[in-house]
Amino acid sequence: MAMTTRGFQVLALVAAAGAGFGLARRTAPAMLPEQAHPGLERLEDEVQALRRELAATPRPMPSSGAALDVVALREDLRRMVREELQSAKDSGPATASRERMAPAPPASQENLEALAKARRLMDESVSARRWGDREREEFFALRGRLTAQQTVQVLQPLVMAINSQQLRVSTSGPPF
Amino acid sequence: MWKKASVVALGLAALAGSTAAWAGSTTKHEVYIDTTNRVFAGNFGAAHNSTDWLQFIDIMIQASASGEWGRILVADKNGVWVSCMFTDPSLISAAKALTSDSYIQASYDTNGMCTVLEVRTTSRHETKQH
Repeated sequence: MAMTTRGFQVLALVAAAGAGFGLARRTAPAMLPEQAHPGLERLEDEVQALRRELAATPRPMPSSGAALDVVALREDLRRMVREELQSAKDSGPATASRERMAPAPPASQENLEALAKARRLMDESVSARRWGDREREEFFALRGRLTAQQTVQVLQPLVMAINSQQLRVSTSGPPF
Repeated sequence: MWKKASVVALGLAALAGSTAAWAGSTTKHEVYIDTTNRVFAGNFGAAHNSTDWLQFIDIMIQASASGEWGRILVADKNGVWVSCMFTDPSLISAAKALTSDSYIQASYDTNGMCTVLEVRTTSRHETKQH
C-alpha cells in the first residue's frame, strides 16, 4: 500500500514538471532569426565591411606577379644553361677526341718513319716538278705503312701541284 | 649492170646512215675540265673511244684497316690533268656506284679534295667500242 502511494507521488511530480516545461515553451515570445543569433549578425556586418574594403583597395597588377615569375624563370634558365654549358665543356671535347682517336692505332716507329719518308718524297718531287715511275714506285713502297688519312695528307701537295699544272706526270701507269 | 650496182650502193649507204637511229639517242661526253671553277666531267666511254690518246678518267678507291680513301684523276684532249681525293663516306659510296660506262661530274677545292661527285649511268652515254 505504501509502495502504491509513493509511485503515485513520483508520477504526479513528473507530470507536473512536464506540464510546466511545456507551458513555458508555449507561452514564450516567438524569436526572429536575427534575435536568435545576434553574434552572427555582427559577423556578417564585419564580412560586408571587409568586402567593401577589399573592393576599394587597389589590387596588385597581375603583371607584377608574372614579372616576378619571369625573373625567377630567367634565373632558373640561366642556371640550367650554365650547367649544360659546363657539362658540354667538360664532356664534349673529350668525347670528340676519344671518337677521333679511337679508330687510329698508336703510331708505330715504322709508321712514323714511312710518313717522314713519304713527305720528303712529295716535297722533293713537287719542288722538282717531276713525278715519274721512280717516284711512284717509292711512294707505293711506303703507302702500305701509312693510314688512309696519312696517305691523303701526304698526297695533297702532289695533287695541288697537278691541279695547278705545275707538275707533269710521266708515269707509265696510274701515278698514285 | 651499172644501174643495179648504184641502187645497191645507195641502199647500203642509206642503211649505214640510219644506224644512229637504230642505236638510240646517245651523247658524247669527252673529258671536260674547268680549272677556274674547279670542276670536271666526262664519261668513260667517250674518253675511251677518243682518238686524241690523251684523255682518260681514272678512279681509285683504296680500303685498309685504317679506312677508305679514293682519288679521281682525269685528263682532257689538251693534256690538262686534274685530280682530287676523298675520304667522305658519301663520296666513297658514290664512287662505288660507278660502272664502266658511267658519266661523272665532280668539283674539288684548292686543297685537292673532291667536294662533289655526281655519277650517272644512262643509255644516252657513249659506251666503250674497243
